[in-house]
Amino acid sequence: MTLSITVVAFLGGLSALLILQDTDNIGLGIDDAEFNLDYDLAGFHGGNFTLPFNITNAGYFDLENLEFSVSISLNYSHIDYPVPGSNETRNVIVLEKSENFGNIPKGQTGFFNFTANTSDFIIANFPDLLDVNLLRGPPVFEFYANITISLDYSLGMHQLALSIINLLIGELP
Amino acid sequence: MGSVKNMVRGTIFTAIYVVITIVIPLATFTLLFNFVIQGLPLDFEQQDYNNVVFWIVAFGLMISGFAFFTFSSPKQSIRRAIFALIQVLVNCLYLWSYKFSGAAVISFIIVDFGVMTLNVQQMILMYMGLYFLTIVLKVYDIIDFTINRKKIRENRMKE
Repeated sequence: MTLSITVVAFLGGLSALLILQDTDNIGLGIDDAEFNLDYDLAGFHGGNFTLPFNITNAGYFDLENLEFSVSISLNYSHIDYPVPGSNETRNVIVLEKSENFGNIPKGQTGFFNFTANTSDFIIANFPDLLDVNLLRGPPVFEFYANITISLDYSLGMHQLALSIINLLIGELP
Repeated sequence: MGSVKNMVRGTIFTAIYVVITIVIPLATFTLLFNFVIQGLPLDFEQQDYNNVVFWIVAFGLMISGFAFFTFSSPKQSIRRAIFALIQVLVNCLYLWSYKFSGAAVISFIIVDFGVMTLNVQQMILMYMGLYFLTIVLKVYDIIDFTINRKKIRENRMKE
């Protein structure tokens, strides 16, 4: 029994790594991504974020519990912060969302669309445009995304997470 | 003749355990630490690797040593049952070493890309469950071999 578990464990671990080795197995459609914001002097009114992606399960077992998490942060220069007369570059998280895309059978490719809408944005974190140092740029605003793809193999015995950190997804103006 | 056979069996099983507990894990971790993801190399602390290697080799040698004493002992002997129990307990420590050496949750920095984390804690917990059942069996063996010592000796003499 121990031997059979060892074989399953080994193949599960190998599966988790196989998916990462080939550059085609994880495809983020950065070029097809959409990021729209309705944001003016009156504040944030709405927005959406769409990112298509595909994952090929190159392993020996079904891939389970595929979770895609996105956190978008806004980078800007804040006037008179933290004390009057000094401007500080701040980084605030304006969007946070996780979505579970279920399972991908072995050998198959899953095509998904990650979408976030107005309710997923953290409205309170958007700075008042009057507080933003417009002379810093261009760009005045930079948007960075932290993307985490996590998945389970062999009944959750192997949990794999891949994080892409500080991916520049947009600039204004 | 029987003792020579036992010694050979002990040596063979020692070699098998060296492969299972030292060679295969070391090869796996070396492969992992040299892994290239999405065309980008992984970055890790050399200390992490040394730590993992130290605990694998240390416990692997202990398990292999006990495997020799277990498998070179006569079948159904109390000595064999006791060494088998000790071997399972050391196996538990070996598994536990994966946890406290940091090998159960391995994080790598992928240069200019991000971070990769492999978590095998669930797998280790499942192994611990298996070993618990094995401990129960080994304890039963000790009791059985002790109670039936006379009968086992008689059967051995007949052979």
